[in-house]
Amino acid sequence: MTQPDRTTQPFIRPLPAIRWWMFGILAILLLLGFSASLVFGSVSIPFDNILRILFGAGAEKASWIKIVLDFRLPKSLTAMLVGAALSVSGLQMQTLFRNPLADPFILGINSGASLGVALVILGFGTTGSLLLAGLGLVGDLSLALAASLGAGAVLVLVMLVGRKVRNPVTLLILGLMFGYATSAVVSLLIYFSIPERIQTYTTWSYGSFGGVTWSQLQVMIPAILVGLLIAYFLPKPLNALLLGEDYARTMGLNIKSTRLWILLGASILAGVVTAFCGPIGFIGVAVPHLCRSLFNSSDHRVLIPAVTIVGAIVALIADVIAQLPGSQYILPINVVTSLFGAPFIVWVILRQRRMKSTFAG
Amino acid sequence: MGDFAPEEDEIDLRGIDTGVLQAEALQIGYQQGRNERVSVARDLNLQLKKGELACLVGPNGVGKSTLLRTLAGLQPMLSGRITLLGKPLNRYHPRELAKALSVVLTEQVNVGAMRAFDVAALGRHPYTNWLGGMDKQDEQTVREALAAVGAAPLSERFFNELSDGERQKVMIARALAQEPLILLLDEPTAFLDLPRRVVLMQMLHRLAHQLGKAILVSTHDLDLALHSADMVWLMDMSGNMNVGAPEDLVLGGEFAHAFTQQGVRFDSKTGNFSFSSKPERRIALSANGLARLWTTRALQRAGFEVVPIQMIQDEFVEVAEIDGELVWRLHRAGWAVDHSSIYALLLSLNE
Repeated sequence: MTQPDRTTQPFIRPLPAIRWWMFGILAILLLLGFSASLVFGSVSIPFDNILRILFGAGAEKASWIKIVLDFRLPKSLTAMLVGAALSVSGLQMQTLFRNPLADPFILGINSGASLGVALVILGFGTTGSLLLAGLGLVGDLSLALAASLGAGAVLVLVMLVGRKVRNPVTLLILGLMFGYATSAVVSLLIYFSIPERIQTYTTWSYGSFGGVTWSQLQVMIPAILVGLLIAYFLPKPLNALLLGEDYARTMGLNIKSTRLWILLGASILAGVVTAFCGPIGFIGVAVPHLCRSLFNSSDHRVLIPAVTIVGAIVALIADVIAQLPGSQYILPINVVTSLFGAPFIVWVILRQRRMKSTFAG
Repeated sequence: MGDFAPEEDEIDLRGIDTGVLQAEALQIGYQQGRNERVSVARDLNLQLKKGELACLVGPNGVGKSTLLRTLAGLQPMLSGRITLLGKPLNRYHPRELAKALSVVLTEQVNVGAMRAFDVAALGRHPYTNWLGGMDKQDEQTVREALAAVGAAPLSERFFNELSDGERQKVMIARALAQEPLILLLDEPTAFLDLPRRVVLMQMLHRLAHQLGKAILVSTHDLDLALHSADMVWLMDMSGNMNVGAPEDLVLGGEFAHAFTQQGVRFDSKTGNFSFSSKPERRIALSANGLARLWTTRALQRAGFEVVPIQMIQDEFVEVAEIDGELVWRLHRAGWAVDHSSIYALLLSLNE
């Protein structure tokens, strides 16, 4: 065969296999979800009042202003950030480890955070916590601090090991073993602790969007933006990794530095979320699969923005459900994501029969 | 064709005469544990030339993959020197290397939901910007790469819905889209049936000659190498390497030496393997043309030594044509029996 004859074989530009229009729908859903999470809560506030409060025009009741600005708005923002962060982190981990079950916590970020929190809540005896209380360290902020330190320690560990270990599977197993070891320590702390403290720890481990204050958001927002920014610079290397590390190397990819950037970005995202909201499961593993199905693509140039938005939407929906509209109760967020999310994802994936074919592994 | 040749300012033309990829006193192997190095082959002196298809052949387990991966820079050499276009391999920046050399590996890849075009387009990785965006020229290169391997009609199909052979083509197109001068393929025929193997090798031969690529293919399929390679790199179990045109290696006996194992023999006359069980009986055959060739094969398989008709008079097979049909006539001590097929002949010989 000689050169392709361009007159007899006209090349059709590859069809837009990517469903870009989907982003329009997702943007609308995001707006709806955001509004819904502002509207629903134990106190019923009309939507027009919420809009007026957001635009600084006051409201019928002064208490509503406080509820919306100091409670619901930070909570909704947190939900969006957490959903986006966990989904992007999970996507990167799934591609890096070529494992459909990988999630943001696969390397033990949450274990580290849990250990930090468990040490603060359970570890110090009565005198210890009195001491901490005296220093003003007990409370939400100290939990966030402890979780940050725990997650940060694991992050540093992961980066150090990631520089030495060449085989990703080894890294995966190390993460798993680290998780077992820390949960054993946590179990030990629980075993020797008193019920009230165990209750506090358990509540933290359920996860929550509601505990994040504006001052904490001032740390959380920039940290998550940095993590997302790193991810948005990585679609090309991630795509190359779809073919496996050997192929990626022969296509000119610097595997070592790419892997370190992926680990760094994904771990920052997972670590920050865990530090401020507790270990929130499910979103990080499910949203990437959902997006691969929705967009019928494994291309990270599509998937990264897609999981960012879909992750935010899923977290907002979870938040609305957790409020149990019309009731005084609030469900733990982890319960909602798993209880309501899992069947939904199963339905989507079974209907599309695409999960296996859309995942590169 | 010009689209596939690297820019002139990017290659060192001095290397072209002697070989674009050269290995001197190369020792390959792998690291085992902390200190132990396992050597697979040593003192390899090789050169891969532009416009040539070289086949790396040898029995399974002699280190063909190790050599290929070493030449591709995927694993370190133990000692020696590899130069690519006159420059040592280890001095190449990964992206620079990717523009000069690309590979197709044995492992089956699963890329999830991507179209064949997008998979081939991954080969543009070393050329595109940080986002992997492609301009018109990049797209054109990918299309030409797909067309060169006959995979243009597959462009729109999802990679994971293609057959093994089609995927192989797309992966080779991806390697071509890297616009390398050198192409290394590790056992590309492993998952293909025989006709597709032949077609693939023909295609690689054409790519080498028409596009001026230097192509090295590892295979344990000797037949294919004999028919399509310009050069054969023949590795034997002790790590020795013989290099030459396939015919030279047959005449020199290197093939027979490398592949002879218990019970299997390389026949230098036919270029085939045959069972070398000791013939138990002799039989004479009188036949011509194709009928002679295939009847001889069948008799050999059945354990006979086939000899010319003059030597044994009491038992011989005669192939005759009666009314346009072939008949195998078995003569035995003065009487003869006709058989309508080779199978029937063998049955009655074995009685």
